[in-house]
Amino acid sequence: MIVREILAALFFILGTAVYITATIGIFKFKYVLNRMHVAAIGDTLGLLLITIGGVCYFGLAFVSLKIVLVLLFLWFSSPVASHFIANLEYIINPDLVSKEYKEETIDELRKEEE
Amino acid sequence: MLEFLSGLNDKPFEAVAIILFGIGFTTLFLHPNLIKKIMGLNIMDTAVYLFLAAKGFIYGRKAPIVVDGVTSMEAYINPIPSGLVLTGIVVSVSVTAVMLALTVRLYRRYHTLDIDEILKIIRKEGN
Amino acid sequence: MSKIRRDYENSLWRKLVRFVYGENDSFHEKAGYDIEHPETEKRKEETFFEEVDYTKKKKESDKFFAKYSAIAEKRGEKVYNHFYKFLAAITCFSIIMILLVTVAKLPSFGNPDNPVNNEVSERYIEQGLEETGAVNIVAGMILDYRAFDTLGESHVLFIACVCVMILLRLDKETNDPEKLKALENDRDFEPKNEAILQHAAKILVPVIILFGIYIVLNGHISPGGGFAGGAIIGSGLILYLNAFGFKKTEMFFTTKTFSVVSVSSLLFYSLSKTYSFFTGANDLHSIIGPGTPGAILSAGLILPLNIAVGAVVACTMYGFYALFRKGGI
Repeated sequence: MIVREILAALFFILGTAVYITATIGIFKFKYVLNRMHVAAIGDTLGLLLITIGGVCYFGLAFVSLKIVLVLLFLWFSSPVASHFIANLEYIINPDLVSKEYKEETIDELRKEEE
Repeated sequence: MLEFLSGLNDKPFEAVAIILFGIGFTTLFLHPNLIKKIMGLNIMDTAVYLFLAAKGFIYGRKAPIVVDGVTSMEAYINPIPSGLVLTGIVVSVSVTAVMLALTVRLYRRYHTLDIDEILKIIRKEGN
Repeated sequence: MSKIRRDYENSLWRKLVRFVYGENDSFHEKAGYDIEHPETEKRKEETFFEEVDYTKKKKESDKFFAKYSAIAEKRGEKVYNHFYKFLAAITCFSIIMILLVTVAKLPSFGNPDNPVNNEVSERYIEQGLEETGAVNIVAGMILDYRAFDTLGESHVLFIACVCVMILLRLDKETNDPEKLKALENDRDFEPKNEAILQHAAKILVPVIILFGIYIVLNGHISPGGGFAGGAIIGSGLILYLNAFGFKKTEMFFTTKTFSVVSVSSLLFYSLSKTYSFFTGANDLHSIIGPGTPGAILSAGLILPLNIAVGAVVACTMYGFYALFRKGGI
């Protein structure tokens, strides 16, 4: 019993840490695709860890099956959502370069020309 | 002051709900962007739901779904705020949809979402 | 009517009002404005002054006003931008503080002796299972004791959808090029035959809709109900629409379907609640009893009412999305 709870707590803490890292990354990165990447990976891994924690906590019960189904659903839907964010970015900005980077490179090119 | 703080310490959820309400109210009244005004109204709605749900909660009791035929007052939390929250959610969804539709119409007419710009254009057209 | 009107027109008060507003000098009725005195004509001729080029003057004054109003607007904007954050913070803080002072004096959180937990909730909890047959006390409350409230809610949703339809609907027989373009290219920035989305939707849509139906049907014995289940079914329909386009959804969901389903469910709701109000008010025996609590076919009218509400909510969700996307269901 105690072992199971400790395991569950460990997984919960790990999952929350992954989520916090992902959130910091979302604010830290500048370009859309980088942020999307961080958010998607954080979602997937954090969800997996938290689900394992939940299954450890409840044991082999009906609730665990529900939790695993939630995990499966989110694993299906969240990559598709990230795919569409990337797709939209590709439609709007086909160069796949951030605005600041574009301006910088253009400035450098102008300097070289001069 | 001490009384005020201890009173808040008693009711953390209500305090958070009020803070959310203030943020939403400020956004609704002071932000020039129409979409953000709607977001502010939705934040206010959420604050009201949190407040109602917090009012209905009682320590050590379960959600009002009868288990094993136990129908005593001491077993379940208050079901009335839950029903009120349901009403609130439905009304909020409807109001948000109508407001977004009006915003779409305004954007089609004036090509901007800024309420100050729209008012300027209206003033010019009026003259 | 006409006599009263005449009396009113001839009354002293009316005369006074007209005198005050300067419409007619009522105390000299016989010498009204109709008679033109020769003296006034003379005066008109005398006061006739030479022409001035007004257009030029107006242009100058317009320029002057535009210049200064532009300066004022710019300054106003600057001041506004400068103080916006400051003002917003102060407003937010003051509102929060005023309300927090009130909250600090409310009864404490989670206490069973609060005035909220009065005899109303006691009655709902203690008699609810017996009287309505619903295991879920909230469902029994909102669809039996307070069914009028829920009827109003579903009507609010329906009316909101109709409002959005009035505001955003595009006519198909139009010559406006913008509208035609909007009708044709409704998916400029949206997925167009995406293999990934279609494969995900093929697996997810049936599961989502099945889950929504489960929640609607189990509204009286588990958490959920018409509103939650209807929203889930609506989101499943929206996912299907996103993946396969309007051509596929229009095979089973058109404006006619929308109006028929939502209006008939609202009518069914009203009629069934009319029946139960009639029997309840007249102390008659209702055919639909509460049944055994916990079974699917129990709790009297709650299950059909849940289904009606779920149909309305699903139609409305799908309708909102389709109206915002294309301007028509």
